[in-house]
Amino acid sequence: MGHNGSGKSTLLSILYGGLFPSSGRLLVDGYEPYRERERAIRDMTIVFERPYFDVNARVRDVYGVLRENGDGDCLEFFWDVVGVKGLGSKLLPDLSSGQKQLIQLMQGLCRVSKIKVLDEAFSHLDPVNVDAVGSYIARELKADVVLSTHVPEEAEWLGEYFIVLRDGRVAWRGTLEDLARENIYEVYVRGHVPEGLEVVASLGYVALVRASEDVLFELNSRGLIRGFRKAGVRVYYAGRA
Amino acid sequence: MLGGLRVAVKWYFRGLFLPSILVPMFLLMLLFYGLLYGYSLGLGDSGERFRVVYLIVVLASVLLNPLFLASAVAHVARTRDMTVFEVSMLGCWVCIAVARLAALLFYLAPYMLFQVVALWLFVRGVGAVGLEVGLLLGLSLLFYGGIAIVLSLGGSRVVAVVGSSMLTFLLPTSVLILVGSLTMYRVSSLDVFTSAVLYLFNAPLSYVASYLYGFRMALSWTQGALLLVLVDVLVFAMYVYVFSRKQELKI
Repeated sequence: MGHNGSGKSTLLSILYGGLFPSSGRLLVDGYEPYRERERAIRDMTIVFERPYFDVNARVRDVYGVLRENGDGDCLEFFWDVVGVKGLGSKLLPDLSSGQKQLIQLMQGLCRVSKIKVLDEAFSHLDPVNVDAVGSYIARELKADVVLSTHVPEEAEWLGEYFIVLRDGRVAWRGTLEDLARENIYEVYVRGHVPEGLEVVASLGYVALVRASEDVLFELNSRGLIRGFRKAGVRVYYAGRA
Repeated sequence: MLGGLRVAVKWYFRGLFLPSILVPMFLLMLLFYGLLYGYSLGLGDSGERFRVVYLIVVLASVLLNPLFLASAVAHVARTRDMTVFEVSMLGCWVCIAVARLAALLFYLAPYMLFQVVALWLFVRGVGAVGLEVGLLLGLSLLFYGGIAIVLSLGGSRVVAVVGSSMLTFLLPTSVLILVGSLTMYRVSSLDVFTSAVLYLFNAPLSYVASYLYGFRMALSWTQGALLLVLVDVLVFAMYVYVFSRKQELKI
């Protein structure tokens, strides 16, 4: 996770071997992907945020390629369950941004590879497709996933280990268990944060506060806040903890 | 690797021969040759008809070649984003580079064959030149194809198409100007370097002009053709190397 320009896409580009680091090294299974690009691209597939196609090919052409080098169960999921089959005869440039991202996801998740690199891969999808594809990743996918996102809930939904980037450097990294140890809560605010709460960060309708669960329960029952939950990666994403 | 290459080639051949582009272009070519053929029928001696051959070579190298090359480059030059998608889907850098070259060559092959045959029909019996004029025209196009494919490494289709079209027009035109100067100053022979440059920039025109205006080039047409082939092989190999090992593609 990280703000715009924090270095997420750059890091993922180095990870799949598309960029060379200006300093330092990055190792995947003991090798540097940008020095062994053929091996890296066999091991990894990439889905990126900008859905842009400029080829005179149809959705079924992508499907045809993936039938030769992809995972059959995964293809069946996208083709029949998600409903990509209905787009089969469409030209790739004619698809909507959400449909394009769906095709990108089908490519990235279904081509056989050990690691899936997903860069803001759900940003153009509607909630129904986010649920379908996210659930598939969580339950069915037999590969490691490296996912970048701006949505803390999405990260906590699918993530096991988190890295928060800030200005190209690691601001925080850890697991959900590490996060649970913090006495910080996300409070859904009505108008303004009730007095007496120590505000760690204010993020619009959500405020990060340091407080006890009893106090927040009391405020919630009085209708002064619209709910709360243990703070997740949003704490570090906000960059104020 | 071979399986990946087969899939990549199939992917790049999709949409390669679009009738909506190819039919008008071949009609233009037929019209071009038809008009010049009709004109040549009215000419008497072989000297006059040879000038028509020269005219054909001039127009083919500065008009038809850029057109055909532009349409070929428009297919194989992809944006950075599209390239990342393809690299991920096909899972092989080298396969994509080779598939692009294969698509370029297969696209240009029918055009080159047409030129060889059409030029041969014109040149037979009108001078000392023969089938080699068409061959040099084809190889010259291949040389510019090499430049175009290298330009496509920039990751912009517009730059690749416009840049290669301009070079395919401007460099052959520069030979036209150079040949004009040679004639004006009555130069009778050219050194190896100048001959090599002429063959690289516009082989068929340089070759035909050397007969028409009577200057001798230090390289024969076979040496010129070999030079073009060698340079092309080198450029294509460099393209595969740079694309698969060095090109940076940020997502």
